[in-house]
Amino acid sequence: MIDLIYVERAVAERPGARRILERFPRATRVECDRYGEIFNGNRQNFRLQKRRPALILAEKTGEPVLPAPEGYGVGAERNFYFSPMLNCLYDCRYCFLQGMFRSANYVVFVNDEHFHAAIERTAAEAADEPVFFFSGYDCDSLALEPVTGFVETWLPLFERLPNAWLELRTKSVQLRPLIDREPLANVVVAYSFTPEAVSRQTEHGVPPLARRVEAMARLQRQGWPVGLRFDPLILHEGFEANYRELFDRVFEALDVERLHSVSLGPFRLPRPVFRRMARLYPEEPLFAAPLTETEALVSYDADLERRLLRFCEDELLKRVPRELVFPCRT
Amino acid sequence: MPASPIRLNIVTALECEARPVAARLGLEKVTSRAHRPLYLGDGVALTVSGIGRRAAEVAVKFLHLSEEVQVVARGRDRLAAQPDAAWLNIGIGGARDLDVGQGVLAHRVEDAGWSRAWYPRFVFEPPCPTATVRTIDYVERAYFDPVVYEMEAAGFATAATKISTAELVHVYKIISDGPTAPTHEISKARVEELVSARIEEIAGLAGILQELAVELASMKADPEGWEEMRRRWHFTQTQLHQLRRLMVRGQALRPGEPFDPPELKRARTPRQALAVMDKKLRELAEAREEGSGRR
Repeated sequence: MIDLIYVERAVAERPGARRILERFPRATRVECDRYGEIFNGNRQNFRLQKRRPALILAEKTGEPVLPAPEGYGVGAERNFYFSPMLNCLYDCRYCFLQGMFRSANYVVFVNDEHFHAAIERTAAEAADEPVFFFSGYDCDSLALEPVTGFVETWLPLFERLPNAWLELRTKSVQLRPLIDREPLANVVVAYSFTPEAVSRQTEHGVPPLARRVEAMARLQRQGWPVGLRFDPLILHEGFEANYRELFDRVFEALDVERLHSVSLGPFRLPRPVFRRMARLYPEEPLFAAPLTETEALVSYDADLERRLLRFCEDELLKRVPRELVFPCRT
Repeated sequence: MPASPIRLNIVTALECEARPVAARLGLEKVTSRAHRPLYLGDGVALTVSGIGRRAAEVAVKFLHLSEEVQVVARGRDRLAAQPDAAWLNIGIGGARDLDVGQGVLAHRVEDAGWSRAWYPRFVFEPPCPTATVRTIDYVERAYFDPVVYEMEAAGFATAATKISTAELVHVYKIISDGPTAPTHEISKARVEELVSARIEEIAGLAGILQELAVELASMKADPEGWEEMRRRWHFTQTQLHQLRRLMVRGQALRPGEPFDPPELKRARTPRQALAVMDKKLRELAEAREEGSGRR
């Protein structure tokens, strides 16, 4: 799976880096000073790199935990995100990562302690209230689990921080590390879904819907809090029937009583990100949808967006209590 | 002389490196006004830089700006190198740990004099081992580090990565010397022999890079009917960008058809034309989302 690994010299001997390097003994190893030498830079093509991404092992410098954008959350007042990894194993055509990053290579930060200290500090600043940490903003939290060992190294931290909540947002069915341990009440495994017809066309490399639903249900049966993320909502031919069918399938498999949260948000992107994505995939009908561009954002035309959002929200409210549903407009 | 656009530019330091490559890829030697060795073939251009990083850098610029040369060479329509053509530096180098005759692709190119580095991106499976290639200004005899020592790659990478995307810039070296094969034993005939022995690997690599360049060009291709549309009105530069975006979106909705709605015939100004296209595009997009249009 990984044939080429770039390693920052400064982290090459760290346990996290060594563990990953040992896992890929046949991969070519190339040393660099800073991961930005490979990951940044304008003259790169994300679409070409997606054919064969390399792995970059790096050190996260600067502030690793950042406030989540306004309106991004599932009930808590204090929301933060962090990115132990950049980029994703999957290739979803609507994903903003392909327009945000120039490179499709996977960056894994191996200085976990830097993140851990920041999370502990942030949680301690509001010890009396819940603090939510989102880990799947710039990556899929679990898709590269066999490489990153994220669950194994991070869950013990949240086990001892009672007011800290972790969201693992994923489309992965790599459950082993979760199944093999006791569930944690403050760790939410959040699955994101689009209707099967959309998934087939736009979510390349993602496990089939049925397997994801099954994986999520299994986690819930074991006691893990699970969340549902219908974000982005995609306007498409027959969206009403398709979303209704998706909701039926998902809620049939889950115990709503034990569901942590449901969030939904329409397709919207920062304008420069959208433009880069459309340049990379000019043939993609998704980017030719009825869209409105403002200075900052590209989103569906307002009345269509309203209609899509209202339909999905109404359908969801037939199946789950309102207090569990969180529309996201960020 | 072939008419297809240049998809691959090759730079070698020596004529004896160029000859077998030109022969295998079917390139013809042409006389350039710049008095520089130039070989041209179907979608491929090759020049001989001479020895040293600066010479390689100049050679890349020469090929990139060789419009004039190509006109001279072809004696017909201008056919400049594509901005996203692939670039390949082929040459020889010395190494401590690699066998003489082995071909390697650079996964890191170091400029020993300037402490700079480039990282060619492998979006294809390399047809040979990869290694760090270090560009030096002298003949290496100690082979102290486990790298390939040579004299052009950094200059080549400096220039080529400013022109093309990183995935399309590569350096291929054949090991010519090492601790047991001293440099004074290298002759022009020996170099030609070394390159000839690796010629199928080189041809394969050339093919891969040309395919990638074609793929990249298709991402950036003008939408169907673009030239005709831009001639129909006198668009400003900003309007041309808008026009392109609209036409690309139109084509995404109806692949294989130029986006040229009949209502455009009534448009008298570029602004009206863009407004008509925008409106038509929305109608098309909404019609496509059956059941999601305004009711």
